[in-house]
Amino acid sequence: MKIVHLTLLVFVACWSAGLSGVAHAKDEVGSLIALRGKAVIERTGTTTAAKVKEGILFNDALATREASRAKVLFIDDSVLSMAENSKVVIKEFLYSREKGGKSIFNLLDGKMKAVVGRTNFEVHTPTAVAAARGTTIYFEEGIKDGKRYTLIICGETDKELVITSPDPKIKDTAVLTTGMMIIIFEGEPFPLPMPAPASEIERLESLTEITDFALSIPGPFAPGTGWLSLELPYAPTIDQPPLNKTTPVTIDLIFK
Amino acid sequence: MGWGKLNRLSVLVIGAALFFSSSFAHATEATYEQHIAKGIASVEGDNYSVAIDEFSAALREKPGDFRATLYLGIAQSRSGAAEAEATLKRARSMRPDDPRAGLELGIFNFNRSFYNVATYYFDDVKRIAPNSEFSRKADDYLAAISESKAAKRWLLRIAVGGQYDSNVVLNTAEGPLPQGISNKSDWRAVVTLNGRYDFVRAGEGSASIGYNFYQSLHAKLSDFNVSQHILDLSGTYHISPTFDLQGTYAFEYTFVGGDGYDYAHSLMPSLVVTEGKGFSTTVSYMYRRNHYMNSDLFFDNSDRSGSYNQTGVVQNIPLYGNIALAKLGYFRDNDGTRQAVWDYNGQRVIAALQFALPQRILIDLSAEYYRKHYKGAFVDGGPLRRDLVRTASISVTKLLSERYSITAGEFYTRNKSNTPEFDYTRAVTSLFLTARF
Repeated sequence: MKIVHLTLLVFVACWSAGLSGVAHAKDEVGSLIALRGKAVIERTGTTTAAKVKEGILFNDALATREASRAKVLFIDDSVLSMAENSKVVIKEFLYSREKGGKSIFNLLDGKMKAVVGRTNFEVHTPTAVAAARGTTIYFEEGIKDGKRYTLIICGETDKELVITSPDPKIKDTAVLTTGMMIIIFEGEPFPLPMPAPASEIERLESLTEITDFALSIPGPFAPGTGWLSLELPYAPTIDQPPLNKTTPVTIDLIFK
Repeated sequence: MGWGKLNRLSVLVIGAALFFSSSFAHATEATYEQHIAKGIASVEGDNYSVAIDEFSAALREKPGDFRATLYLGIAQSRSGAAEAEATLKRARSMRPDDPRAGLELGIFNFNRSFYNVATYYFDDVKRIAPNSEFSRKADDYLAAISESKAAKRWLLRIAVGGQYDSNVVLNTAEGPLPQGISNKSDWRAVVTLNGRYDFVRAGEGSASIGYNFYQSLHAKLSDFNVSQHILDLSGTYHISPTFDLQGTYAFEYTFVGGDGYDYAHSLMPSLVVTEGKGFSTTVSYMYRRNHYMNSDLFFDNSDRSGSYNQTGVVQNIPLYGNIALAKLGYFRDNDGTRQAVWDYNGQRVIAALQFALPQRILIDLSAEYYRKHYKGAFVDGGPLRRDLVRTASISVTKLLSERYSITAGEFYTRNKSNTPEFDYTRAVTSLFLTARF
């Protein structure tokens, strides 16, 4: 019985250690690694300005402003690159190094490039649900001629990108492979996927990538102004030899 | 094997090659993006060695890629690696009209004080991308270069304070005080002055002249008041981004109790190796010619005159994101005098730690272990003298403003010797107010 208890204890300890990569509500699931312009994070009802190196939590909504771009790296090595005026919500994120996991993002508006990591990856838009593993996907969500649409381009992959509809009335499914795209309008059946023009891929690539500004530029600093260059008061050491220790004795001679 | 079978086999081989190569290409793009993203995160987290690995991996996925080359060069530059220059130049040659590579080359040379070269790159960035964030950053750096060139060439530091010395006369623990000496411990006031003037300042190096003055005034033991003057000429030459050559000549004159105690000439060349990320190694040599003078208090002092040699190496280690600096050093020295009783060979190990706390407080800790083997016995027929000197010190400095600071310190020495006359303990407690100009 003792052995059973001990085994259970060890098992629970190992399971807990193995879950070190599992994201709970308060854990960071990623971090904002690059920002050009302005972006905000909406978290538990408050909106704050996003900063580079800031952690992204489960249920956060990240929104970029005009002429702005953001790049987020997640703990499963997924990468989201957002164009201006885009908004994405981290709807679900469960991941462990050993078991993989699942991640779901809601793209509410704008354009985004996703590099899928080690989880079963899904992006939900108002008009489409894309599920994939191990690929690069471009998304554009917007309104055209009064109708909401989602454009999806499947980048290079050796797996399939499966598209379904969030509308229970639309049972269509589309499968995209490398270089294929689909534009899905709200409330309409899925069209057939078609080859994505190189110009479309280049357009979305240029709108989402932050090449020259991805790494922050340090400012100049004057050398020698840091605290650690302070010199402390100087004091010489005098390594003197031993002093003369003899004590002179006075002897009074009295002659009688 | 018939032609039919050979053709089918060829088709199979070619098909397999195409399949695996296309799979490899699919993995390559996503893998490349992930390496780039992880490298960016590492640079922003100041983890440059990881960033270099990630961008190098991205380059293996996409050889000759501009973005990976540029980011690799930036990570190398941030880490202080010398190869950053070649990498950034490669990126710049791929896209000559991209301002970021040129800006980073300017920053790389600025950080090495090669201001003329840095100015060339910053001017080029302003030409390529006027009215951009890059040109504004280039302007910031150009302004810093102008400030540096116009910056004052001199500095002056004055410290005034008091000390309590538990053993001014370096008396042994049990021994009686020498004749005429009322006590071994005493209070003293101390004034120090340190000045330096850079008379040469160029991208390749600098030269300066310095003067240091020390004066102590004891409350009772005025015979042990020390006045010391040190004049020095120093120079630095940047051999390369990794190696700097430094040299100092110094002349020193010391008075004790108003009488001449010693004067000395010193030569100290050293080589500084910059390993990047704040790490550096200094290999040094010192030659010192001592001339000790006899006085009423030290009537055999001149026996100690001679030549002193020291070689050593010190390693500087930044800690905790550069808010702390550790030093480890090892030295070997020998002193050749007029009497074998004063000649010795020594080995010394030092360790120091300096770190900054909030509220503008600086802590300095140091320890030294010094073993000296003398070549003569102090008493005829006695053992060859062996000294083991252990020293420890701590000081706390509070910056009151950019100009003024206050320092409290404690300095402890235990000189354990097999010759009783040299076995002593000493502790000095200090409080100083320092002004910098």
